[in-house]
Amino acid sequence: MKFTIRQAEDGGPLHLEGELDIYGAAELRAALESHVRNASSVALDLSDVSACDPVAVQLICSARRSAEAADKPFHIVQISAPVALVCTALGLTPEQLALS
Amino acid sequence: MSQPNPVNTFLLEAGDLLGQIEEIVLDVDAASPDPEDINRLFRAFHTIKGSGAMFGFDDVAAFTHHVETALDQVREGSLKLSSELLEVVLAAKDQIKTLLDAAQGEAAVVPGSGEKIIEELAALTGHGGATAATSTPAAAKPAAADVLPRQTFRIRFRPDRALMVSGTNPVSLLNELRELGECTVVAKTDAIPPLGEIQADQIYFSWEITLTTGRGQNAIKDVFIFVEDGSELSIEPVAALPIPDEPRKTAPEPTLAEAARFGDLAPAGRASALKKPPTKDATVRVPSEKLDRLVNLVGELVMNQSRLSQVASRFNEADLDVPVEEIERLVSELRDSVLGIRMMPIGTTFNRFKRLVHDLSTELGKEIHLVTEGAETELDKTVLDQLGDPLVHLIRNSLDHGIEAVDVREQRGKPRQGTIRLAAVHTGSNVVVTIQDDGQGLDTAAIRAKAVEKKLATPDANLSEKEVFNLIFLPGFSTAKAITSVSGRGVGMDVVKRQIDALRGTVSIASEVGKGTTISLTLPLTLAIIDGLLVEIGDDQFIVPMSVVTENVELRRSDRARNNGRNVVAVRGDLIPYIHLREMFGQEEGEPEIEKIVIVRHEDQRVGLVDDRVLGSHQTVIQSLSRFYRNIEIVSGATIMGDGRVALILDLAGVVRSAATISKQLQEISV
Repeated sequence: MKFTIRQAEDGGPLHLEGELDIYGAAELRAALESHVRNASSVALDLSDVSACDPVAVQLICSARRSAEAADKPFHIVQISAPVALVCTALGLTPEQLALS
Repeated sequence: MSQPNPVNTFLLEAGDLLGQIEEIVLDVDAASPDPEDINRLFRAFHTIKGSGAMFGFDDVAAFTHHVETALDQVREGSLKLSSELLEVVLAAKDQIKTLLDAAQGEAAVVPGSGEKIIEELAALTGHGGATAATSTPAAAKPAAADVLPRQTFRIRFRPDRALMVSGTNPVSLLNELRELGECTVVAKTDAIPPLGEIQADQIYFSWEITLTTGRGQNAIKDVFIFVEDGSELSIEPVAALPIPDEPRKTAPEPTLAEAARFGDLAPAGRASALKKPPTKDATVRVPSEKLDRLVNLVGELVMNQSRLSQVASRFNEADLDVPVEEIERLVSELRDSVLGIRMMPIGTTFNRFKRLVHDLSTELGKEIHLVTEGAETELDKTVLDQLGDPLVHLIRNSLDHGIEAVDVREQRGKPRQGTIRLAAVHTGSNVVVTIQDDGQGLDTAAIRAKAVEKKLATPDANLSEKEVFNLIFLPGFSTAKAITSVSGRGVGMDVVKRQIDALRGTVSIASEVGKGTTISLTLPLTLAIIDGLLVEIGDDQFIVPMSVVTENVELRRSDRARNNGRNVVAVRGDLIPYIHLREMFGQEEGEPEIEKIVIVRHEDQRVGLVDDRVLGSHQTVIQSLSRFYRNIEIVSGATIMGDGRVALILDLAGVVRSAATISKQLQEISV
């Protein structure tokens, strides 16, 4: 796994750091799933993501879907330049990512 | 997560594409090419360039770009195809292969070789040359400027779910589209399922793209060439769309606004309303070692099944009969299916020879056309792999010694262009591969003289034409007056014969002076499992390959006495020579009163093999013998029987050869 996950004790955003890609997709999914299940409000901080691919972006969209299905608010606190670059290239809008 | 290495996938794909390129170049008619052939050539280079860049093979991408540009010009009609251009394309194909091999450490690139090809291309296309050699494809892109009136296209793309797994990043595709012109990309996320249902490595995105470009629809299609399989793709010129759709495409923003307003992450139910991508016949690449392991396992299963049948028959238990018979049927089906997986069309091997003939005929200054027939004929991969070398040798021989020089052919009233016909056809459990040329044919007098000179035959030997032809298979035989780089490298036809023998095949020659030569290779379909006839001598069991067996007859001791000890038997009026296996295997004692003769066909002759009993047919899993026994020519392998005993598989050619040697020695002693 080339990324690390930090969860603030006060139930703040889930902080992801490192490379989010297809090779760590299963781990990322598990981490997001656990966060969506346990948090009352889902927030992600992607400001320290150094690289990112479409599979990872898709998992974030999927997390949003899961959160909304469970009636939990979802938002992304901040994104790094690599994430922004991939999202722009994929033709995604900030709204689609629920970027606050 | 276990997934195929994308770089390896690319290398395999590139190998296939290079094979396709060679095939097209060798087939295409430079004077009036089929536009589809040019399109296919272009697409193949385009794919190698695109995916090469994607996987970090930047030198391959940069080099390929030049060929692609030239072919694009041919496609658009601004450059005429010529045989010179085809030669350069072929050289470029070789260069790409070398670059790919070099990247894997399997070859070295000759410095300057790529630049030379690019210069040759530039000379033919009339563009700047080697200075562009090191530029990246992206930097070189503007050179291929708009050539058609600008037009707006609406592109909908829903990729195959496994897009990323197969090594393609959609970002590269979308960026490639952006390079074509003004592009608006809208991602659709409504098919993305919640975390509990998502397969993490699959792609659920789809895209609606509006692109205004002067490069034409073909250029857009080319972007998707590598990913079309399993994807949904539609490319429509905006003007051609029905009126009610019009405002949506000409202004991409409303679509974007619409997507933002309604939220793409609407209830999951919407995803199910979407059409599923069409399922397509997929091909799975499997390493051949895995298949070999599977075949070995099936071999062991077949052996154990026959053991089970034997044990069951001893118990004579009615309840056992049905399941045992059912297992027998299932194992037999499994065996056929597994062996079927290893069957490959011989065409892949044939295609290699097109290039060989092309290159060698240029080298020898001859005009030779290669015709292939029956490329779809299937053979076991193991047989096919080992068939390449003997075929190369035979084709080289036909090119060099068979087909005459152009002026000689004209003097003899033959067409300037010689023809080599390479054909494959199924006959029973064999495949017959023939190499036929319309050259000068074999000179029996020269062969005979050479054989006498080399002390391979006596001057007074009374040899039939067929026997004379067979002399060329003897070790140390070569009639070539001049050693050329094409053939005559000291590897004789004896090596070919030995290689074909090792495949349990046979070689035969037919030739007519002035008309040409035909060499036929008869090969078994598979080397793993054969149908055999189980025979017994004393307590030992032997297998005779069923494919050569024609019938069984009895031999009484009194019949043998009547023929004065000569080993011949009369079968419906024909005298058939037989070989006494008891004598061959040194088991003189305990000969039964009535023996069995298994009559087999060997090189157009019938020969009898005398044994004690014929036990019946047997599915024989061939096990090779250890290297200590490799030199035993009368046995080609062994198999393990149901009761654990080992039965040797007779090598018919070896048995006949050995019997002939023994009888010759006996004659010499008696003389």
